[in-house]
Amino acid sequence: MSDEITAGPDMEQFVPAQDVVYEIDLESSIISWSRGARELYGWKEADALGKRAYELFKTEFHLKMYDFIAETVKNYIWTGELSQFKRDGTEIVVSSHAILHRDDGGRPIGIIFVNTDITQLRKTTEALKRSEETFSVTINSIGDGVLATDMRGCITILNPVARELTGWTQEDAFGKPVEKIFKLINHNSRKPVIIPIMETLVKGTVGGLANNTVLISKDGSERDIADSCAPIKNRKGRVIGAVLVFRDVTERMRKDMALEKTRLELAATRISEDAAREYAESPIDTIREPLIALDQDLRVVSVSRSFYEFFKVKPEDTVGRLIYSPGSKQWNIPGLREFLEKILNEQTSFDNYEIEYDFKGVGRRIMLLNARQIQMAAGKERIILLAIEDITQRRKAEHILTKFNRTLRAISNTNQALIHEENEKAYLNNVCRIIVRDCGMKMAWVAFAAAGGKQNLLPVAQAGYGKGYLKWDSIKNVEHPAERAIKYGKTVICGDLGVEPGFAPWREEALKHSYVSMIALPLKSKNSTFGALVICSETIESYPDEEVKLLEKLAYDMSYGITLIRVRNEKTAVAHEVNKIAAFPKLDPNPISEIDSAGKIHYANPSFRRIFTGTVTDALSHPWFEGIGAIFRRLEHGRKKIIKRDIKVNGRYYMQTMVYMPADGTIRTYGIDITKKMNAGNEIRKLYRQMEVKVQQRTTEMLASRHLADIGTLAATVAHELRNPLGVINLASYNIRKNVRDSNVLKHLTNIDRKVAESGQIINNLLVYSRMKIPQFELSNVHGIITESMDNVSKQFGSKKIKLKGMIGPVKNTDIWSDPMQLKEVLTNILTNAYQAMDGKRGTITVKACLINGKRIRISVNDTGIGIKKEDMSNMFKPFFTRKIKGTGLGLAICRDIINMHNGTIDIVSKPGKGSTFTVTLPLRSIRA
Amino acid sequence: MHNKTVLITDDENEMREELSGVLKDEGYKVFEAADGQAAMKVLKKHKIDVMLLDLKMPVMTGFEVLEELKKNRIKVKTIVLTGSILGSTLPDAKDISYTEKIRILKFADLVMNKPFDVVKLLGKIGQLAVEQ
Repeated sequence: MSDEITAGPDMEQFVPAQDVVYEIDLESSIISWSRGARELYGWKEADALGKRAYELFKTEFHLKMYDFIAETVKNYIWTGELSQFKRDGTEIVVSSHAILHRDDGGRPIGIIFVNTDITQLRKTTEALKRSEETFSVTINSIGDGVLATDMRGCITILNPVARELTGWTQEDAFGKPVEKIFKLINHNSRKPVIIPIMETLVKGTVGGLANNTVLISKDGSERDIADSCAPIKNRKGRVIGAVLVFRDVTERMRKDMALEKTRLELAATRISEDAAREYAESPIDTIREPLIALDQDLRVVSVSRSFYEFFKVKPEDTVGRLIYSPGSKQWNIPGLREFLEKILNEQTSFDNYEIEYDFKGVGRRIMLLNARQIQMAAGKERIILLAIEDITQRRKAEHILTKFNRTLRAISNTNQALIHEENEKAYLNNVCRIIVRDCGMKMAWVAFAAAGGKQNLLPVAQAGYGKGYLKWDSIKNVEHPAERAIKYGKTVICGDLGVEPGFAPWREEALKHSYVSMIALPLKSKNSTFGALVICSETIESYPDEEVKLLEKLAYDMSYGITLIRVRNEKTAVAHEVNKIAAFPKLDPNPISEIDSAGKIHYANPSFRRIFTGTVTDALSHPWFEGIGAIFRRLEHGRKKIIKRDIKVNGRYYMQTMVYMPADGTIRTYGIDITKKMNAGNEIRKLYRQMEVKVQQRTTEMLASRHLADIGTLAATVAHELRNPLGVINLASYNIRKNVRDSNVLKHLTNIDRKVAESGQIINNLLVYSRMKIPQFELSNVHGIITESMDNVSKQFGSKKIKLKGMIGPVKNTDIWSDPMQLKEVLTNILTNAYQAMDGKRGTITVKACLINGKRIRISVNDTGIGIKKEDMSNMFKPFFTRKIKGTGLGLAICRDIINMHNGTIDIVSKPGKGSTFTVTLPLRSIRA
Repeated sequence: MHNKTVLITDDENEMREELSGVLKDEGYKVFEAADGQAAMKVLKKHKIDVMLLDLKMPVMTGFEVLEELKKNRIKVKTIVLTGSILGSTLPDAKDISYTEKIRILKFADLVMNKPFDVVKLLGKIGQLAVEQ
């Protein structure tokens, strides 16, 4: 039969009533039900026992019940929240700790639930969460940067815009002082600007920044911002923080400037228009676009004013010349002549013919040509009207926009890739693929900085390249753009690899693969640049700032992704490790626990829970944690400390190791069951005690025999030897008496008989002293001993003159280790003495008893008798000393010896003529048996 | 007249003589033994109703006699007459423990201290002899 713990009574014992504890068996039937459970769920024990838990609680849980049981059997413990129904139908949420209950053989026999009703808590939390969510949704949706601080001015919230503008993430910024995140300088003086948050926090006022404030973000970039600051107040109106709303006005300022420019331009336009009116005879001139009229020979007939302005040519150099004439140079565009001639021949027109050409004085431009053949009114003569539209900027914008969109898509896809990818290399390859695909790039590759060796770069991922390209050794004194990006942590742009001066060593190979331009973006972790993302395009790229920023964002996201994957992997590894390590305490057969000073158990391994069933709450009062409160008080705010002690819990001994963890403010305890060892130790101690007792008894015996050696042995021998002859004398007298009738002889015989009887009495007294035994110690009520002695003596004397008073209440419930017979003998002797001291006169004998320090008892007997003369005092306890005519003088000697053998003392205080007080003091435990 | 028998077991001659005198006057048939061994012999030979037994005796003590009687299921009423029951008065190695003495003394029908009241003793002997 295994020593099964019957959960019911045990629980009642350990768990205060309010704790909700019940146990189910492996079939989910409730097998125990605490008072707390009754109070929470409303079911009585009789209602609950035997029912299936899921039936009782009307939970959906039953579907998973067997899985749950299996899991708990495997892991020993399960913690979570359960939604349950009470008897009255109300739904509650409980925080539940389920603990596997096993018998001594380790066989699972049930699962003990320790639940806490957290319905109210949950409601509050949810309400709080809702309001927080509303708040955060609001904040996140604001197009402006929003940051919030607590009372100390430390960041609590950064919305996405604020994150973008400051360059900080919510995670990194949280808890940091606002000045650190939000660095402001004056636009003009470049001196630091004080953030108005402190004033807001102190005064609760709404504030705003001075104009011309520049925010320096984490990466050092600057933005003109405008902001305002307002306090956050709680319901009671107390300021609990501040919120700062700011926006990037760089664009606005730029716009303002652009607006100004536009306004100026408009003004200028108006002026030119005014001037144009002067040339009103030519309709062509009114046309804004450069316009050119050609005759059939493709000779310039007329040119609009805007043409001159645009191409910065003079009429005398233009009109009358062939458009493609080498002299003009301007229009010597291959293919143009063919097109124009085609129009002439076919009498058609063409729309939107796009040419890109490096115009002298204007630069490389993309032009959109629209041509019309016009039949002049005069008849046969035809003119080609050529409208030229400069779409360079538009194309550029379109190109950039396309690239933007592509890059944005790439960023989005990169971030998408991160969500799914767990493998770093796969992620990097994926991102490279995304860049090539989405951004329309020729190739993208990622290199990590390699420490030492022939290579500075270690290509790790790539997409879209011809095989073998990425094999190279570092070249002395020349840094690859990627190396530079890593070295300086800045983006390196090579718009045209064909001419890039520093790219010579790689040029041939790059151009062979049609890599025409290159951008190398640093990949940064928190503290360092660890690699570069290199993107190659097959066209010459200009990389405007905005695009570079986007690409940098992409690189940033990529870096983040790498970091995240690493952290994730690391976390997984750590989690794995933690699980592995955590399994050890789980398997440890000895109890392990962690508790804080409030008595909350932070951790308890299965052994702990198995050994100390039901100690999940109110742990401080559990014997295992006895005295831990004092230990906490002693160690609090101190260093890590290890304390060892032996402790007895539930009848077993443990060597308890306590480790105080200052960081957590907890104490971890580890116990090793040393019951067997202790029992052995106790056995030894017990034997030792027994030996001690024996030694003491022996000593007492020796003491006693020394006294007996004085007179006892002699007396006993004499007494016994005398008894026999006395007996014979007695018999002889009897025999004589039978045969004698002489009254004289009979009188003598009577004398003999009397003296034989008297001798017998003397012998009796001698024998009491000589027979004095070693006290037979036993635990008995001292009150009873005193009362009995008083009764005996008062009966014996039966005197109405003498009043016997007892004041022994204080020892009513006191037990004493003593030989009760001997104690009675002592008290009887003292009381007899007291009665005799009254000398037949009226008086009072008072018996008092009290405890001294709870360890000793003092009994005093006071009489109002004759008292003791000074010269007699020193002889009082000597054997055979007597002041009475009749008496052996052994009474008090016996008393003294008995008291000595009880490790006590006996004293007399007396005033002749007034009375005496005998005081006996005895330890309650003279010898521990 | 009756024919009740009493065995006096005592190492003291005077004691045996005086006791014998008293008992014979009372009509008892009296046997005497100076030690335990002698007493056992008498008990085997004669039918004894009451045995008066001293404890401290040479050769075989009163305790040994009581044990023998018990062991051999000898039916005889016993009155122990002793100066000291429990006192450690036996000089030789035969002394036995207190509890042992008490255990053995319980085999006796009566224990009386010397010097004893003769009339009371005669009464007890008469009583036990009838019971025997």
